[in-house]
Amino acid sequence: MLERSDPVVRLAPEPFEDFYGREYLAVVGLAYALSGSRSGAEDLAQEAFLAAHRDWDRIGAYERPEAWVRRVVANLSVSAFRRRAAEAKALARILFEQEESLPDLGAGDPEFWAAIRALPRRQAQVVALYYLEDRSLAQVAEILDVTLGTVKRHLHTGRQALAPRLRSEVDEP
Amino acid sequence: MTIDSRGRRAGQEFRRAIDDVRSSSPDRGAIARFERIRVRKQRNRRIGATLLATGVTVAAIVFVGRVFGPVDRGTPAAPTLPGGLILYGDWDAQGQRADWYTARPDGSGLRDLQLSATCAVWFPDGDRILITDDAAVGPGRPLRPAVIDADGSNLRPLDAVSDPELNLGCGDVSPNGTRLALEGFGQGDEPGLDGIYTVRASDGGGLKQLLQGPVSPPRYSPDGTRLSFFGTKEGVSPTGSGALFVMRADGTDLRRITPWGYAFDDHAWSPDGAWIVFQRPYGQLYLVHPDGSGLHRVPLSLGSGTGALNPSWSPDGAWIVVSLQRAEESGIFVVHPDGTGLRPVTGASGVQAQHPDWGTP
Repeated sequence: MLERSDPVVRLAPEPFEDFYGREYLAVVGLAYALSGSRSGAEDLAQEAFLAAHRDWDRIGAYERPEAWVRRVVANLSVSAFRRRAAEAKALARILFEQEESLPDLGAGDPEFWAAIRALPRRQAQVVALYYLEDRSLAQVAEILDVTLGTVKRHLHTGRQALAPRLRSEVDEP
Repeated sequence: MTIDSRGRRAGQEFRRAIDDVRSSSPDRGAIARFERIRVRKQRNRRIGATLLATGVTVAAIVFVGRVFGPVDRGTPAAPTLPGGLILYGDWDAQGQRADWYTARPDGSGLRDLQLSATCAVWFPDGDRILITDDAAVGPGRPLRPAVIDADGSNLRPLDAVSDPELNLGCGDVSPNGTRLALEGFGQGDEPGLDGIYTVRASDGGGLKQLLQGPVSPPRYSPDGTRLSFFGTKEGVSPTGSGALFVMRADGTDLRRITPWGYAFDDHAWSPDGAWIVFQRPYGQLYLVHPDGSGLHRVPLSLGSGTGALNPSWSPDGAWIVVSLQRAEESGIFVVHPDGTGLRPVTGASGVQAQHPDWGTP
């Protein structure tokens, strides 16, 4: 399923090291926004990058491998079981090895991100990608492997749902 | 402020925070860190495959020695464990599913149920298993529980509830086997749907909402008169202020029995109803009476980086069965409630055995 929307390939993939160094923290941020777990977010992101690394010859040749890894982490982050497992592992490590927890990335407006996490899964993924990474609707559609119309529908419905929770008005730019 | 302008501002602040982390903690994005994790996982999986091939019991012994260091040798090796079967899930990271197994408490009789599901617990009769699979959630396809026989066969969906907006997730079976208590959450824009529900165990009908709010899967007390659950103020995180709650099985008389920030997700009632064992954040086991008194830690001497998670009880109440987890691997162990007698049930390097539930013989 992940391969279906990845028809454009490069002749040679960039080194995985470069890709990881450039994208890691942004992917952690997406995991954090969608899971709400400051400690589990890095485990979720690592899982997504490990999946990419296992098949880097193919995934690295995609025109936008960053979209692939975001799709994986977006799906991992909204799975309740996966989120809890990542959280539990991270909590154990933090205590026993004094690993530093991720800074509170959502400190600017935690209420906004909490409201996103309360949305249905696909709506949460669309709204988070749209605002967190300032993606175009087409890019969000590509990352989630859905149609542009689906993204528009989820963004519209998501905003409608957020408005009363955040005591804000809905506007459609 | 409109939703769109607030979202754009929140996104900008978030991206700025990420840039700050990037400049202040360059190690977080360093490939060396990724390599350490990758090599460890690769090594664990290779060793794990070999160990599993030589037998789960032998593998468990190796696992204990390598991962958890010295184990209490004071308890005789002679089996003093009660009977029954321990049900547990093995998380498959590549497949993003948990595969479920049963084994005798001494680790023998391992059976692959050929089942992928998010959660699974025994029915009180030990003949059936309640399962839920959150991979099944999708537009027009709400989450519902199902029941299977103890050998993994004869899957029967419990889908009498027709509300397409309501997901019914993981939970527990009442001691008399007639009701299920489940966590519920909305499919659409209905935050009021989050909460605890009960349905008939026979067909999943007879829906009742007992409580509203974000909760973990509830657990029945052994006499069926009360339900316990983990609730959070905001998300599940070290600062998430989670706590354990107990209420009557009809949803009344709600009481918080641990301080905020004290509990994390999984917990279980002792068979006599006197204690609830639960996991604290950071992988520590604690015990508390259902009225909130007697709170104390189970003194476990675990190796560095190891946490005790997903506790449950043996049918005779003499043992706690638990998942000991370190980094990318975990195994199922049993230990007395006073922290002595720690011994393995199953586990191997590279395996993520989690969420044990000890079924009545």
